Amino acid sequence: MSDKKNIDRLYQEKFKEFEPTPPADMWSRIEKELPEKKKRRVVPLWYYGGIAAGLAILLSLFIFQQDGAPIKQSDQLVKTSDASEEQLIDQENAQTEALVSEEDTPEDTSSISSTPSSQNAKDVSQTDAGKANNNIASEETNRPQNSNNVAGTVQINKKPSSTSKQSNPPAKTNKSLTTKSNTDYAASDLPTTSRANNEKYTIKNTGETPAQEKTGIASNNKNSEVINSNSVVNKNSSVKANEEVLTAFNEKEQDSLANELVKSAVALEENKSDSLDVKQINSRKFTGSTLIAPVYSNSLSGSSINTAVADNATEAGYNLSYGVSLSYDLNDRWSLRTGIHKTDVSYNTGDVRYASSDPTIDGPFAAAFDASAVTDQGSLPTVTSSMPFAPDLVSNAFLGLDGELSQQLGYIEVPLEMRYKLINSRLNLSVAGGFSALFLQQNQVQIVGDNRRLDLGSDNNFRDFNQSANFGLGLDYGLTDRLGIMLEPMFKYQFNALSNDPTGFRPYTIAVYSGLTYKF
Amino acid sequence: MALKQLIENCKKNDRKSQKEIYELYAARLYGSCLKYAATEEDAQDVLQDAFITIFKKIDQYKDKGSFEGWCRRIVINKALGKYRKNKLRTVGEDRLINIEAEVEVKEVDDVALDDLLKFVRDLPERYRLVFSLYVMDGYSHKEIAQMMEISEGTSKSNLSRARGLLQDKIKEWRNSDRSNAI
Repeated sequence: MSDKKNIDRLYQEKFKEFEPTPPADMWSRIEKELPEKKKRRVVPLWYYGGIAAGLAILLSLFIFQQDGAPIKQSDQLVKTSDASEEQLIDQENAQTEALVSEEDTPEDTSSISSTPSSQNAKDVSQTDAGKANNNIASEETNRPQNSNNVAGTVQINKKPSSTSKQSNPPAKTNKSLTTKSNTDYAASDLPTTSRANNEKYTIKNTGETPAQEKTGIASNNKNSEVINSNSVVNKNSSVKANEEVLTAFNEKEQDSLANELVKSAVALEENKSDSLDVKQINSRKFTGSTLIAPVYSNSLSGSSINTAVADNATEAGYNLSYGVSLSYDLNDRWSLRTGIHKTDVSYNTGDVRYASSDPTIDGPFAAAFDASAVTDQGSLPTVTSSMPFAPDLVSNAFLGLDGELSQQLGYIEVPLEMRYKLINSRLNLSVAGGFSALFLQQNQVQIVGDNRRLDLGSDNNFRDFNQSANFGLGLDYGLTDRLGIMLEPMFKYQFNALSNDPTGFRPYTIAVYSGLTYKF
Repeated sequence: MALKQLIENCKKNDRKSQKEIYELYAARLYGSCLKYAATEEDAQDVLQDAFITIFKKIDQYKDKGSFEGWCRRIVINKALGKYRKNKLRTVGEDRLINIEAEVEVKEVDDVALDDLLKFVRDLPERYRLVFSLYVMDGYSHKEIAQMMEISEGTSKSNLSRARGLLQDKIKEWRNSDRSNAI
């Protein structure tokens, strides 16, 4: 009995970690038998994915643009006041985080204070010539305190209130007195402290540099609404200041919401510095267009059929492309464009003979086009027996079908292009470059000869998904503020058109798009 | 990636995740296949069938119990499926070797794993299955009886026979090994 147990134990122990390597081809064997759904799905996934991504980008840009609106207002305010100033609009519900940073002094200072308030507090900045009023109001205790400091030409009114116990730690601890006191400010509950601090703060500001830059970013804890970013005297350095704020912010790993707010504030600031003139701010950043184009398709080299006819004459195909596009102006010069087009192309190869050597049950020709059955007319037919071609279809009966082989393909094209305006006026001239994703929708091969066309099925050698690199010029002319017309010659060079490409087939298309544009 | 996520992806027929799952478990499950199948080709067939079933039926895995256990069960089912197909064929002439019960198996540790595997494979099919199920995968005679549609008594006697045969083979091996050594 004991030896029997022995055997059990022996096997158990020996086989406890028995993990032999299966044959190397095992996975491919398994994969072959798995449902093919995924592969079929790839095309629509790309397809929908591309559209979804495009929409997501545009939507986010749109939201972005919405956020930008208050900035433009403040920009205009800047224009109306002639002196250097700052403004901070601070609207808050419930909790507010305020981040204040200063630059201009040797030390950067930044502090974050968070003030939960039971009431809505509103902060409005007002600008007067030669004066800057900074109001930071956050009413928590209903005991607003004022400290007015006048120095030079700058008058700063502050209505600070005490911070709460929940206040975040300051983003940076600097040697600067201001920050230090701000730290105290943030950490303490005492209104007096904050008052004292703010007095110091303003004294320091006014004493050292009459025209200081400050950036204040107020973020609402509760939702993602960007309340405000400030406007600044010196725009160049304001961006820098904001970046530093951002850095400081990141260092402290503030919540992602706050990060987003800062980032968007920085981006807006950059936008703003680009558009120095209020008039230049174009509120209509989107342009939708309808497009239609004749498409000339040919190949730089190679054959889309096989090596036997690689040297045969090719004749360009003329087809049509149509669709819609949507572009977004990133700034005055640059814009991003996407869209969806239906694009047909065709490749015609002359003087070929189609003689399928593999007659199928369905008839003399296979349901799918058989590229190997295509030969040059000058060459000898591969198979002459048992080819029951209708004699009226061919010039020389029983040799095959002579004529021109036409491969007609229909793609859904999703381009993504950047454009740069060379001339920016009523008549715009731009250059464009980008890529297109091409999804094969139609695929038909015909042989054309003796005034007849015969369908030979689809050519499986064409890939379902391929890409093109696009270059072109664009001319558009504004008829009205919103409506315009455009003309765009584009050259598109296609990649990966064929699965099996022995001859180095290099297809391209030239299309001249024209259409109506509408800005919104 | 967490196993749970991989499984979720596999439910969506995500090829990459399926491959990852395969790579995680192939070796371990192949071990099981070898124990249950008579030949390496059979073992590979079982593994292939098992993985195809795993991926097709992964929807039915409900996060209860270990995923590996679930997979192993599929492997065993596949192996038993082969057995059921062959069931009409009787165990037949078992080439039963008389078991000398007195002979003790000593120093069994010296037997190589490959040889042990070979001994199991050489067992008549039902003995092999019962032995593997009981000894290697810890099924009870009751479970084995249900799975193989035999009686508990048959299961027990098959196990006993299997042990006897293995013991004999080990003895044989040791003798030849010794003679080789000399």
